[in-house]
Amino acid sequence: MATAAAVVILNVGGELFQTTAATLSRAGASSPLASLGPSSPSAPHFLDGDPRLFARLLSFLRHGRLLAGPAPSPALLAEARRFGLDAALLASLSPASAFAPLSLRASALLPLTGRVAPSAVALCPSPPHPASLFAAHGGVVTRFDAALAYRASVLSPLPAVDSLVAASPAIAVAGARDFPGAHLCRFSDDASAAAAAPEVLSWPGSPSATVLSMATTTAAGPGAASPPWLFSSFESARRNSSAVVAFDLNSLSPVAEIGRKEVFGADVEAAIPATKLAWLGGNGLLLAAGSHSGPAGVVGDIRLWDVRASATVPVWEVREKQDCFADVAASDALSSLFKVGGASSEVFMADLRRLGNGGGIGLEPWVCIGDSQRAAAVASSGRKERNGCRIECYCRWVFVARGADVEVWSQVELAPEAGGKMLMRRNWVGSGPFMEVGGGEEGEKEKEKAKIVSWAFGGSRMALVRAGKRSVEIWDSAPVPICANP
Amino acid sequence: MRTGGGGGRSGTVKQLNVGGKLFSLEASSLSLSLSLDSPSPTPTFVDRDPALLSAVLAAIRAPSSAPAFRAHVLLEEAHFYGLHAQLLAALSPPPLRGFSVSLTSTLSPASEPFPTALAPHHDGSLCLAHGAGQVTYYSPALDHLTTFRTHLHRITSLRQLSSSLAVLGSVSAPGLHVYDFLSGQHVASVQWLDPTDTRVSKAKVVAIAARPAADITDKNSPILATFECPHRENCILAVDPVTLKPTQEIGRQSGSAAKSSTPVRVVHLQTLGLVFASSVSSGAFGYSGYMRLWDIRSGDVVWETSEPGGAGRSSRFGDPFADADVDVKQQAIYKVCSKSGDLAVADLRCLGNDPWVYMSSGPRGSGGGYGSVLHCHRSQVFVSRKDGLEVWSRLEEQRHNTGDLVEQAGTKETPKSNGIDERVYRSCYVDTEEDTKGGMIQMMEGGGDRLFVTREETQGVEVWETSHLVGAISLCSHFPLVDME
Repeated sequence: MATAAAVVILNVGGELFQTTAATLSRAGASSPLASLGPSSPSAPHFLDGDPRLFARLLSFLRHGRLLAGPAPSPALLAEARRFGLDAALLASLSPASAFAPLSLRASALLPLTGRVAPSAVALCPSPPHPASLFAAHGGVVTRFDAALAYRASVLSPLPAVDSLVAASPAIAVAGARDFPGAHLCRFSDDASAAAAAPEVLSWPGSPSATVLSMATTTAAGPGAASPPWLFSSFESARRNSSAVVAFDLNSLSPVAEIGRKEVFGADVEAAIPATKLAWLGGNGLLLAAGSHSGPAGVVGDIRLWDVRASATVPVWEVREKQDCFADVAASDALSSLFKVGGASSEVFMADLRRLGNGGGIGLEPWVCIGDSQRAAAVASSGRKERNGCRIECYCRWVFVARGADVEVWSQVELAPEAGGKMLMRRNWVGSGPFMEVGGGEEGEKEKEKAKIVSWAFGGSRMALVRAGKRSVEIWDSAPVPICANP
Repeated sequence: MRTGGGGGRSGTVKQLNVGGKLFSLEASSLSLSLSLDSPSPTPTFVDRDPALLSAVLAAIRAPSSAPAFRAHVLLEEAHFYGLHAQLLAALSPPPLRGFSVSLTSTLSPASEPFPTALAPHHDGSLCLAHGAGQVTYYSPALDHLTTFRTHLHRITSLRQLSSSLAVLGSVSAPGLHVYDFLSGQHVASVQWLDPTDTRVSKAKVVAIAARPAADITDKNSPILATFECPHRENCILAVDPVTLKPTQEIGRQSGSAAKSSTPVRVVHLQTLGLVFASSVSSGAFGYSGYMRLWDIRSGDVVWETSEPGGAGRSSRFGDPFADADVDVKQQAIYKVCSKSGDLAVADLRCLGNDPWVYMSSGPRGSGGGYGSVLHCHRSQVFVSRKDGLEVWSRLEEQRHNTGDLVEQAGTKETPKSNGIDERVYRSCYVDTEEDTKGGMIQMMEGGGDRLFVTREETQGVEVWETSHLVGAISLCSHFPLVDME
């Protein structure tokens, strides 16, 4: 309730709206709405616009989200852009706070053009930006906006993109294992404008080096003030040297070269290049991990780098010999490292806070949170094949891709009287690998599920790319209405 | 200018200016902060969405039409205006009549949607345990609110304790656990421990009777949970619902024989001060089980029957019960026979050696009573069989509503020696033949005016409601029968 003096009266396309200056100020300082002050009933502010669309925008300002209807129409987005509301509107469509892995449902399939199945997918980290989505198919990188309504494509010189990172809603960086350099793909907000040719970021030490993996710093955390960095793991064309190079994404210049390694002779295992990079914003650490499969089995290195302290000596490192990781991930919220065993395919956890003092060689940092007996049995049997599992952390959850299904580990905290323990518990996203008994059609669909090639998390969404499917699968945890029986 | 609320009755009418649109509402129905505002010639200005208020008012007036907004959005808005209770009443289904219910929706959680336990509340909300230890909460309007993971790997018993607490237990992990289902936080654990007997430890929970889901009346009744030790010793533990500490041990049994095995169903009969416990086990030789009534104060057995054989013999030899439940309001025990599939009733007020009255009328399938589930809700008895779900209702219950059935049943129905006349019961099939193809019914719970049903190896929970909507199927594609504005 507000006194009559504080009421702002708007005449939008002939229809009168009444609201308060406080509501309008939520549009942000750059919006023309924020400057409108209280007005008398006889002289309302006139805005030229569609009153029906404006009613939805005003409702958005009041509630912070759109209430009715599915995705916003292009007309609504255009109207929002006029009032400087489009960024906030897009960001509200998929807020990270609404992400709940146990409520994820397959919500959309985004078709891609051409004949090449997508090889990589990336979602923009959503707290600073709307969660726009990038997918690479062949040498083409396509961007979908947060409303999943518009797309734009850029052609990169890469024959096929192996790693893709979203730096901002307008910039994606693509790299390949068989083509030098990391390529910046810029998308302008204006869909009609032609995109400029991609810029190339390369390792100054070896310009022909190819990209194995990339990661960006997220704006959240203590590093928010500094410009965003891009980490890229390079391997020289002759495969005898490798390094992680940090680039400043604003100036596009290399900032640091981390952990440069050279191979002398045939001692390949002494210098395994990093194939997985992850940024731990809360601790300011970079996780770099790589593995090498040789005749004696799979050997891997996991290193944590403090970029500010030293570029040559890692803060912590471990060499994996038994049950070497298939994939490693780091979680800020749980302050832990997670790996999925390459032989056992069980999930292991290592507490970041206990790595420092227990960093001795003999001490095993990993604690199995899955079936530890099975993990031990497999490790001792010395299986050498790899399983292709992937692991990723998002918010407070750990996701594991096993073939066509996604598994999620959630933390359960018991009450202090009951011991106060933190337990990690396993769940499936969706119905998991269970086969449907009843519905014939559904059963057919389950059988069709193909292996997950690439995945990404952002906002309230998970994006999956499956082998041989020419579309991106979107899973959204925004509440879905009850499915009514026909 | 729009008007709403109030109808034509006299009362203080409050003018509201909601975002530039005028509404007239009865002041008594509005929330305190809005109605207390001094009556002035200019309407009170509220900076909110007018479209939402008109949607709320439309839903209260005509709950049948398809709303433009999701129910929880409307409920949130109604909360501000103080119209929450009115809207919720309009959105909830009409009184449950077993003979005229239909399948209205299927609730399917997003992850691992195989239900393992159901806990409806009297307001029509539902707590659902599914998959590997996950709990999903559906609001009284059956909107999905939260899903969280508990530390248990399979929840086999679940009850709602209050508007935000749920008690749950598992037959695979010890203890009774209390979770806040809105935040997903573990609140407390209750263990059955005996300082004089160290063997009593790591007891698992088999069944829980919290405040009856169907009744608002009793507020402070204890949570009753049956615990079973690894060496099969068992008891019913009464737990204080406020302090969440065990207060009393009822009916401690050794568990060494079928007659003393852990009860799988517990019902608290608060008005009588009794606890009903029943245990059923089935094997290659058919069913066997017992029913017992424990006095909650003295801890003694008041009445018991065990089938086959034993004291309190049934006149039907070789036809032991497959499931039993108590109708608290009618004060009657119902059982379904495993071989013949007959339903039998016993009056709680005059239990004797053989108190059972067997019903013979009504449709009966070939399946008998094997795998039957029996559930009493709203003075109706729902019995599932292999070939369908049937409901037994009492004609006298309808007398107040319809009135034209009085002659048939009412006059003759004078309390006889055992108080129960089988002629007042009528049975009907609830579901159609197509519905039974989904599989055998595994669990069945009534909550408010809804019946929740899960089927074996089937995803999701079926919601059965009585509906006043015709749901006519239009044969002419150009003109819809009901204007969906």
